Amino acid sequence: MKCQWQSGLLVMRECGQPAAGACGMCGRSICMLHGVPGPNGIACPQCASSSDGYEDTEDTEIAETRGQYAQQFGTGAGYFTPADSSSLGRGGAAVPTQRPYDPRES
Amino acid sequence: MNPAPAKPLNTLADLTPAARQAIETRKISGSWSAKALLKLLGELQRWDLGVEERKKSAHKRVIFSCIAMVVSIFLLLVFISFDLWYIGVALTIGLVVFFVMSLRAKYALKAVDVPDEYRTIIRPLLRQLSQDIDPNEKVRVECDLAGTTESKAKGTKDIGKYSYQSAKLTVYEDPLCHLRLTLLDGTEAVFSIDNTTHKVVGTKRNSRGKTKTKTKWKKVTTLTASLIPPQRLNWDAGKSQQLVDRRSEKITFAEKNGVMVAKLQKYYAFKSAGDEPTGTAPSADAAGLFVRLYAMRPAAGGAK
Repeated sequence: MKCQWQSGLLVMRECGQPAAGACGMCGRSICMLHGVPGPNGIACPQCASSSDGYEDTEDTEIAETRGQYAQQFGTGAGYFTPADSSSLGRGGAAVPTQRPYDPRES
Repeated sequence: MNPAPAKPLNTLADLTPAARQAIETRKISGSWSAKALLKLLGELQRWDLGVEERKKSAHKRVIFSCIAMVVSIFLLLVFISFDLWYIGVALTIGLVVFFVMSLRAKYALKAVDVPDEYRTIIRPLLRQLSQDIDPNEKVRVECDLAGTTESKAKGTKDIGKYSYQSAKLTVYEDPLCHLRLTLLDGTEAVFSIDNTTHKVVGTKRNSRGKTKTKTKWKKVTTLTASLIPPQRLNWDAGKSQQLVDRRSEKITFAEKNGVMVAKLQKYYAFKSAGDEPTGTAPSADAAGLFVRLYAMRPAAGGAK
């Protein structure tokens, strides 16, 4: 089973990492990286962002932002899907490779 | 994502060389990694919060010293009547010096202040898009931290009597920031903030012959988001009708270098009397422009 969390705000893409468990609220498979510990056990960022007692992470902040825009523009959750990337001929975006941060870099 | 900055920075020595250079030269330019740029903006946010605090206390000191100065003049008369004029004079001179120093400190802070848009719009936008930016590509930045200065005045003209004896309009154009980001799907996202400020200084003379001046400000902020897709695609005009508020927004599609570029602009107006308006556009709106532009792309398989 793979992690079902989608990263990003504009270019959404599947995480694809092996799942470490399921969200205690929605049942979505979630990996170690995206699971947020809290009062109801491990939750996916989407559920964690809308429940009390969960810490704020980069993913919960983005999940909250997505929810705000979906509500504001009334376009529903389908307005940015991984399929959007394939419409641009890229066939889905590559998972970014993390480089170590160089403070002298400018 | 960077945690919210906790403690304001108060001296230039507390800043990293990159942030110090940005404050001193009043600009940020060149190509930056998204992480380095976010780190710099985080520092500038802490610096700006420190400056805001110091501006408030400097303003309080100016008011306090002004009141104390007036009171000391009355006290001077009391001291003179008790033949202790030298104490009254010393007190008055001391308070005048304190007043002048407070005033100078207040205006000196303006020279190191950073426009609020950097912490209210640009940093939140970069944080929201941090997972979408291609980490192998640099963010190209051209930012001006100077704010509205006289060098940005595009001209002054007399706009007639209006309700005053004379009214002079000065227009300032301030291209605050321009960012060009490459996203993970190869799309280039361009974001810019432009401020156009109108200052009207009106002068009138009352029935007793006293001349009074009044300054009114209007700042128009334009947020512009553009998407340059990696290959030709037809944007969904039907969706653009639904997603754009025609009262304060403008959408344009133009062909550039063989691809159709979508540009969405949103306008805000802020007015004030006396001092320059301090309002800024809501932080959520900047990323919202990109979210809507993404929603206007054709559905999967719809590209032609």
